[in-house]
Amino acid sequence: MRRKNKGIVLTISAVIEGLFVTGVLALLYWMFLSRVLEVHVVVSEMNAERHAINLANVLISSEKLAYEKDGKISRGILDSTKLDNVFINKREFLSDVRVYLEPKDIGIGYPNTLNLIWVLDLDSCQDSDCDGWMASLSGPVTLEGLKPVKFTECLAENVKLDQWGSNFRFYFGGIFGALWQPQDIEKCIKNANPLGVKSFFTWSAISSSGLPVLIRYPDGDLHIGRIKAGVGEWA
Amino acid sequence: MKGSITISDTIGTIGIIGLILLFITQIIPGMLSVIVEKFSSYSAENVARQLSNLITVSGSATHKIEIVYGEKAEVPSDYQKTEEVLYKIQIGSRTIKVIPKFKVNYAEKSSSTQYFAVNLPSEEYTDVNSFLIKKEILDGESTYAFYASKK
Repeated sequence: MRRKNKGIVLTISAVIEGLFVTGVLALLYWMFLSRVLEVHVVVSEMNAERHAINLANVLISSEKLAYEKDGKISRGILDSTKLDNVFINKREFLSDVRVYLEPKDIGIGYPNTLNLIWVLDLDSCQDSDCDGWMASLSGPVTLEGLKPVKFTECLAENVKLDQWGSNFRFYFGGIFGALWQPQDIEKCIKNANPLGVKSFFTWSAISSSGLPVLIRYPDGDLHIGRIKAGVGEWA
Repeated sequence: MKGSITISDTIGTIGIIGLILLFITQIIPGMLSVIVEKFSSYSAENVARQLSNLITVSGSATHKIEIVYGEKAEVPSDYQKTEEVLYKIQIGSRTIKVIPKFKVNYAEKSSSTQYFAVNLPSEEYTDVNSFLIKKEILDGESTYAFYASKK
């Protein structure tokens, strides 16, 4: 049927058709938003790496480790006396690996996490073997069934001190030897994981190379060093 | 007919098809993009991650620091996007749980729990969207505090 009218005229039927189509589109849009669409947000990032870097940054500013003069904290300058008190010296560590893996509570450390900290005195290195301090910092455990102790016990049982020769060495930028091989750690992760709990460990070069620090000894000597935070998280 | 326009059914149908195509190809994707961007910013996951990181890195200040998150900043900021949504916040055992209260159906209602590395007292806030993180040294010890309010 053809409709012809004088001037710009829309017939009643055309107006009704237009309104109907508009209404249908609006209804479809409303149904799409209210019944079909659901926005989910997924954030993809290296959580453990970020936590390790944050943790190292907090530690180098903490009054528990940093050098203080006249009540002022020197960020990035670690006090060897404080390190001796809070951390395990490498020599003590060599006598008993379990000492290192016993968590220390200094009020810093992520929950449901193995917070492993290394401090190396790079000025003391001889034949790629350096003095240093180590600690495992404790955090609350909130995940049901998670047993970080079981994990650390497994690590202690799997340390291979002579893996890269007769001396124990730290792993640092590929120069030193390693305490554990990745397959040993993966085995321990599986042992400690409750069902449905995922684990995230720092493996990348970012956290392996650590942050630069200075280490101040009681005689006033300043040595160049590095602090590395290794984080193993369950979530 | 001189001086007149005839709107035939054919032209009407073509117009409607054009309108629908315009709606599907231009308007809906544009609206979806705005919706996704908005709810990514407002999501529990984003807010919980931002807050947990800010709480932890406040510890890298050697003396005193106050970090404000969520308040409408004088200078436009891309990450402070919480002013239009209210949240329930639960803090305890160095974890922060964020539960958003969206008014629309299509927003994800799920909560997010994130870890931080310093000690904060256990607290719970309801219907808040502005946050303040404070670190100071009292009696030689680092002390942390978290405050939340509705703006």
